[in-house]
Amino acid sequence: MSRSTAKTTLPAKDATRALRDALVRLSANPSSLASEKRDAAEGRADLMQAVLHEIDATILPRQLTVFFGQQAVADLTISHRRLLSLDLAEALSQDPHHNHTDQTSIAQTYALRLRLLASSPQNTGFRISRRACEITMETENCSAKQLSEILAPQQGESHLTSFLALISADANAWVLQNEQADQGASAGPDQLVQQLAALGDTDKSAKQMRGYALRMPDKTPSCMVLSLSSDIQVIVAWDHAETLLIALPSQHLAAATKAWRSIFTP
Amino acid sequence: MVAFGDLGSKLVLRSSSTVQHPQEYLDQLCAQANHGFYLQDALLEQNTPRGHNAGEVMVVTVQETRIFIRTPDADRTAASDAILCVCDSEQAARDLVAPAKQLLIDLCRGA
Repeated sequence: MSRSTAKTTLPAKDATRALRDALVRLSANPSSLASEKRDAAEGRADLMQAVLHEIDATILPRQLTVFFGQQAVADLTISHRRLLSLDLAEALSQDPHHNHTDQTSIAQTYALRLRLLASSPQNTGFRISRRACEITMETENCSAKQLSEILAPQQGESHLTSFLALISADANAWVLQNEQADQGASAGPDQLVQQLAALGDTDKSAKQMRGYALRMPDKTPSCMVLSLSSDIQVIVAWDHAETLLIALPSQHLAAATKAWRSIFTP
Repeated sequence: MVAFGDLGSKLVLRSSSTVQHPQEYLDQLCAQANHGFYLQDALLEQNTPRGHNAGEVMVVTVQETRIFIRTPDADRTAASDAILCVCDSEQAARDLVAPAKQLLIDLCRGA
């Protein structure tokens, strides 16, 4: 977790690339910049890439607001190519009280919010406004590169692994089982991990015994939400030979299922 | 779509929807509900003490959200009625839980 006052020293290679990109942008024909804005407003631009680019290209403290039409949907504070805050409008967040915990990387928290933002219906497109702002408090922050590493599927990474990367910070515990591997992966308190593993085994044996298809009643991916207690939900997600079981607080459920959709929507 | 099914026989007895679904789809939906509640009961059996009664299971797909609601206090040893709904959103699905549970309670009392 990064905690700095944004006096970050860039590696020489990154600094060179950033300088080159900034020079290219400064020397760009104004009509091409206007064209970029028009593409965004008319739904031809990738919102996530646009936000990552803004983070990477912003040196002086700026507050950015993302609009869908006339509606402000997200506020970001950026300085020295670091994202200092990302707050979603309540209608998008479905999780307004979510604050990251000590176990949560700030980059994971912002990556999840960015994915929720990018997967929200935009209707026609988006636009981003910028204004100068003051930064008075030392705050946790992350770079566009850290966000990209969380958001982009790694080579050979499964959909469920990508899903897990987005929400593991909010989970009480998780278990990833693979029918083709002897050992799965897990994290969390032993008792809860054992409960999830036992649930995965029960699911597998029931399907074998009853002849259930892995994904019923159709062949599209799905996940099931069960209840462990009034406060804890369990998500069971299947994809090919993998089963992912996650226990998480109820207040994070809506964000988690939205993240699942963002991963599995073609 | 909303359907009324029997989890024991895994059969949908009545259904209503804007588009016609084949009976196979409805029965598979009931089988999925049966499997969901089987997992739900297995999960809660591990809990000590056992006090939480989960009367619904939700299934999320890319296109739709399914919510299955069963008779309160049912468990795997009892044949039970269930209401199966297919909704456009999770919020719509959650909104159906309370009225569906009440309907099942009313049905039990009337039986």
